[in-house]
Amino acid sequence: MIALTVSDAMDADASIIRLSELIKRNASIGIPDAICIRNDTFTPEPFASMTELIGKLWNGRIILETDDPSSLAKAILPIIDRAPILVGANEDNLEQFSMVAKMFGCPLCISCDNIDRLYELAQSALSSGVGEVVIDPMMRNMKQCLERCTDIARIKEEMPELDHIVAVRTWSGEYAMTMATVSLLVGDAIVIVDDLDSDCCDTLSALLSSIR
Amino acid sequence: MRLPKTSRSYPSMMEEIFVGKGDYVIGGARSPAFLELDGARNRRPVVFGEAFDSLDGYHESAASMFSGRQTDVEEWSVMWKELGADGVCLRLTREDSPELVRKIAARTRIPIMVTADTDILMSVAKAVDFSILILNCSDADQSLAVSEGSNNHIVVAKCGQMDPKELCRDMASRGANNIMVDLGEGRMDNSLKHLRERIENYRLNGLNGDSDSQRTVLCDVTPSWDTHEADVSARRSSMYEATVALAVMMSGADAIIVKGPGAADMARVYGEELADL
Repeated sequence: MIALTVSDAMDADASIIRLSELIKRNASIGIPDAICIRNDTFTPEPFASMTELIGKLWNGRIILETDDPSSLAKAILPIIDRAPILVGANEDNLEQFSMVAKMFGCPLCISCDNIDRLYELAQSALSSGVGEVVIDPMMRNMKQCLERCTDIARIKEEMPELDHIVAVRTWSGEYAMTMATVSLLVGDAIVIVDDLDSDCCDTLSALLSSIR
Repeated sequence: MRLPKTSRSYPSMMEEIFVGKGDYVIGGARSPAFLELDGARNRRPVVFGEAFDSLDGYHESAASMFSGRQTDVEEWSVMWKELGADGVCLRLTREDSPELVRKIAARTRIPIMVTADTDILMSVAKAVDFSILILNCSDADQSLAVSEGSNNHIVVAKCGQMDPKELCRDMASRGANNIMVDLGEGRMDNSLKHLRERIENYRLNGLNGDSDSQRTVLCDVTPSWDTHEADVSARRSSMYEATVALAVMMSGADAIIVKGPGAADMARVYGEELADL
């Protein structure tokens, strides 16, 4: 899954233009197949409004990214039947995020740069009733992406019960495309990118068709 | 929670070959590509840029990236060196190819790979004795024929769908002392999945002690340009080519041949980052 990001700080006109471009790109090359709505305003209302707008116009998967669990509930309501993936959980706020994810039946993405601790947090979320956990080992470059994705793939080989999809959070441009490429070559991943132009999306789409 | 140990070790390593004046080393892997988890050595794949002595049928959008220097193969080769390629892959057709290769090798001082018909390859191999060349063959028959007159240069076992072990054994019995294997062309289509598996398995077999699977691996990714229509932008073609290059390097290719300078630069930078250089 490759998600491009829409910020809730965008004004209405800009967000419509951005959204129509992403919808067009999805229809022609299949990427992005998800949109990540990011709570850059740090306030609940614009986050919820943007989610409502995107929920009406976008048929693919939706990811909600915020540091504030209380903003999440408001944003989920307009798209409650879409089971958005919730991004923003970490060691400090896991309990509150888990509660929201459990309440609305949403997959929860947990971030931690220590792999052992990440699996502990994932187990803790599952134990608290979260249905699905995505793990984000906070990879910052291609090298980390290769090493950590391989590490996680091997852990899964040895312990099939630790079957979590990996999330890769990256910025924009050609380097982001390369991060996506490395993670997709190692295994399945949810790649959340700030932005990619159409050449990058087309290249990733061709790669996915070639290797899957 | 106790997680399993994920690092692995291997009883053998891949072959190491020396090219040019012996100052460039290719191969020698002791882990799957780039994996520090398994004790990878800090060495990246080498990148060869291709240059032709005739531009018939050459991609126009690629030609536009060489500022007119592509009209003279010697200048084109020098340009590849200036662009930071590790070596140049000469695609030759002319009778004076041996002299040309000698001139380019002396002028650029970077490793030279040559693709040509059998007679030209044999005469080039005979004429150049001050630099170790890579004689890049177009099919298995040519690999066998060139093995008989390789003059201690490196001969590429162009395997196609053939078993590389069998071809390498036949080549060695005909006199090839130094061999690289080519397990298929890198293209952005369904063949890429199979090619990656083939390269990965070859390396894993070699690392696990199969001495017939320890040759260095060459992959030509220039066919990734053929995926596009003629009017495609150079940027998009370069991104396809660089992505295919990254895919085969991550599978275990030790050397790649690229068409565009953009892909050459990206492949080199990716290789450096992944090899932690």
